[in-house]
Amino acid sequence: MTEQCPAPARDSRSAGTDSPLALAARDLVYEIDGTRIIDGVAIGARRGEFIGLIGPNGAGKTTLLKTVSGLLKQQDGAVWLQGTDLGEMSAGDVAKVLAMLPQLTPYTFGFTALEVVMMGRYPHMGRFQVEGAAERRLAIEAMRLTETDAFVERTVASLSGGERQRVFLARALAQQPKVLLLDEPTANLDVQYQLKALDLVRSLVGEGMTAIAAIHDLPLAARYCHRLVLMSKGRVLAEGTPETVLTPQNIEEAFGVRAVVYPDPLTGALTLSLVGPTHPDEATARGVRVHVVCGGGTGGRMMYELLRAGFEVTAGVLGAGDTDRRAADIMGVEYVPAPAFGGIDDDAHAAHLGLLDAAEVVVLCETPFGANNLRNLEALRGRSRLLTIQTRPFAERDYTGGEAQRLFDGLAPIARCAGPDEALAAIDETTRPSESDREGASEKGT
Amino acid sequence: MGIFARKAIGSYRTASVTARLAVGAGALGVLVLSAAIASLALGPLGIPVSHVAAIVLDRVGIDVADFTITEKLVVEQLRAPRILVGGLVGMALGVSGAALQGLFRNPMADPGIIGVSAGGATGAVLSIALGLNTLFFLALPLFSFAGAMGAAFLVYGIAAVGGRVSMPTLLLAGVAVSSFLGAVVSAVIVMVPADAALREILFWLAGGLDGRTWEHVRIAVGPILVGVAIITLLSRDLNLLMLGDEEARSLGVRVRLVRPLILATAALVTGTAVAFSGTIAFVGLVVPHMLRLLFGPDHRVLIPLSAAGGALFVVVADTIARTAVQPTELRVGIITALVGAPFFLFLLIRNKRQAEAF
Repeated sequence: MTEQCPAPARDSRSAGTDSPLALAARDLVYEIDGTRIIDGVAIGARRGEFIGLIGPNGAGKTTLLKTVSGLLKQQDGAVWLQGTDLGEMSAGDVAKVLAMLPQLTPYTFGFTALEVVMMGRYPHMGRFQVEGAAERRLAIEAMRLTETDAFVERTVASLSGGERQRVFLARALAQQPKVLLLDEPTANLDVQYQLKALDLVRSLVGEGMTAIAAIHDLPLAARYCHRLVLMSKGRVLAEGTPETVLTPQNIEEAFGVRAVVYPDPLTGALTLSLVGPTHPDEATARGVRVHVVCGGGTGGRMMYELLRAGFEVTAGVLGAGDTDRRAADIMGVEYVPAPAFGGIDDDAHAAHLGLLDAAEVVVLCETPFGANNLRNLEALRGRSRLLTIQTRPFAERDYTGGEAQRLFDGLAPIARCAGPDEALAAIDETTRPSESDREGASEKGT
Repeated sequence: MGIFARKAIGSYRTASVTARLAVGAGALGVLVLSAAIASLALGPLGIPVSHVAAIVLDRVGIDVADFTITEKLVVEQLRAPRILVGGLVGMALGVSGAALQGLFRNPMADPGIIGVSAGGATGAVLSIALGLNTLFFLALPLFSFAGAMGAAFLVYGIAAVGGRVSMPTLLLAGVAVSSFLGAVVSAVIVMVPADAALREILFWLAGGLDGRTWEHVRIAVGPILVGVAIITLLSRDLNLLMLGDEEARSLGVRVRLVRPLILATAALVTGTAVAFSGTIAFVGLVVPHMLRLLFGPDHRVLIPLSAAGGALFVVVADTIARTAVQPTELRVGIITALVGAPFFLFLLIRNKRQAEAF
């Protein structure tokens, strides 16, 4: 353990670049019965930094938190708490500096909430000292911050899971830690207290505390944390700003799900929609391209369902500012762009025809047609393997005085569907391998 | 008593540790003192309380001279040491019961759980059966103590693997070792040839304080008071250990040091108690539980009060044992269970809602 505590990396993003690392670990290994739960992890948290630990179940997040807090002793590697080797600190020394909010609050027998919160003061008290007015004041202040001050006299056992968790958060705060470790702090909380709890942590971090939280809720992690550490199978898969870590590729690799990631329109923080779990066979086996002609919000769900089902999706000419264009952007669907209300010029039309030719099936959504997007209908003329989604007479969405209606009547769809689900079934039918092909093919679920 | 006591101390949930301790220690102190005086006065030879007071005052040099020599002898040489041994044994059992319940996070834990009682009984019973108890004055307590410590170390040794102690294993090992030693005791009882020895064994197993002398007091007082002091000093750690090892560790408790220390101290204290009184049932279970209902689970209050409460319980039970069916003397262990168990059940039923207190 003669290694030097690593210096903070020069990362300009968070404040206090030159402040010492509040918590650092290098080459950490923790194994149980020969299985490596933590496999060579390095982590560094600056003063005033909020780090989110994300990753699938069993990635080693909890074990990492327990190891860097000294609850578990690593087999290899070292941890430094404010520059001091953790192995050379007593449990008492550590407890003065570092607090841990456990994932599951322990059973507390008959202790009242106030008694439990005041336990947070134990590390700071002499052996012969009992809690006095000062400790009581600090405890009640911490309970006020977590809105548990109404439970002072209640036994913790009589509280709900979320209330208990907030009591234990209050205890961690009463400890007045320099480093706060939180294991799933929001898991038992309702949405209001999820935000309040993380707001609280964030504000304490603003005052110089360091926080590391294992969080399952990726949008929450992205919204509140300065940096994210993505763990998978005991290793750090990616680390950095939420933007660099929460990429669809990283999410798919760590969690095995396809996700679309985009800035939340209200908070600006990254959020994501899960497309579905990755089916290793299906995703590659489908290889079927479906083109969606849409606009004005009629095609978003169709594109999403097609992606979920494992199809490759392209979309028809979409004007700037169009809702479906935004959806296509978020989902990474290839489409032909056009200016807002500018109509479809020859280049765009040609490009659109190219996409249409490349698709095996084309879906026409229940899009209103006007002069601007009439060429989208034109482009469909003579297409075989065309499906339409139609619940109302076409005339209701014809703003061209009948021209669109004429074009529409000229189409020969193989199916008229009431919605995306029906369309999906029809596409499935159309693209299913023929009887002879199916003979040798192995069964593949949808 | 339940309602009255709860009203009197009802606000304990907001009262500070010091306040709770002061109220509890004051009340129990008065009760212990009253019980001791009553116990000095009561018995085959009834001694007026004024005479008892005069004897005590005489002892500290104030000459009131209002008692007979017989009364002085009975009080000083028979009843006083017996009460003191009873008080010490009660303290030991109450404190180790409270400590082990906290450590095992289990209200069912009592001092016998780590095999100490069964070990002490085995040592005592073997020494009686082999006639070793007559070798010298303190042979029986010594054998009993050796048995108690031997059993505790065996149980601990089984549960401690690679420097770690598994509490569930400890619990199971304690049960298994106790069962085994119980069988040894039964076997000895079946095979022991002399009726006198059999009678002595059964007497010992029922727990008794008859014939205790100042010599017994002098030997028992050291280990028991030191043990109680150690556990009292660790009572804050016990609060955290009751929430779990990781909780305790993350709030600064050296779990690997403190837990064996508490276990060893509890074994020492209980072993000493068993050696001097035989197995007295129920004290370690009922006393901490009652006090927890009244004063809450904080060990900084619970441990000292369990010492006082245990002393009170044993002294009162022994006084009843001495006086209830004269001229025969019942055994203190019979009274603690006979009175303690129904009272405990009564409390449980009355306080069903407060059962969460543990």
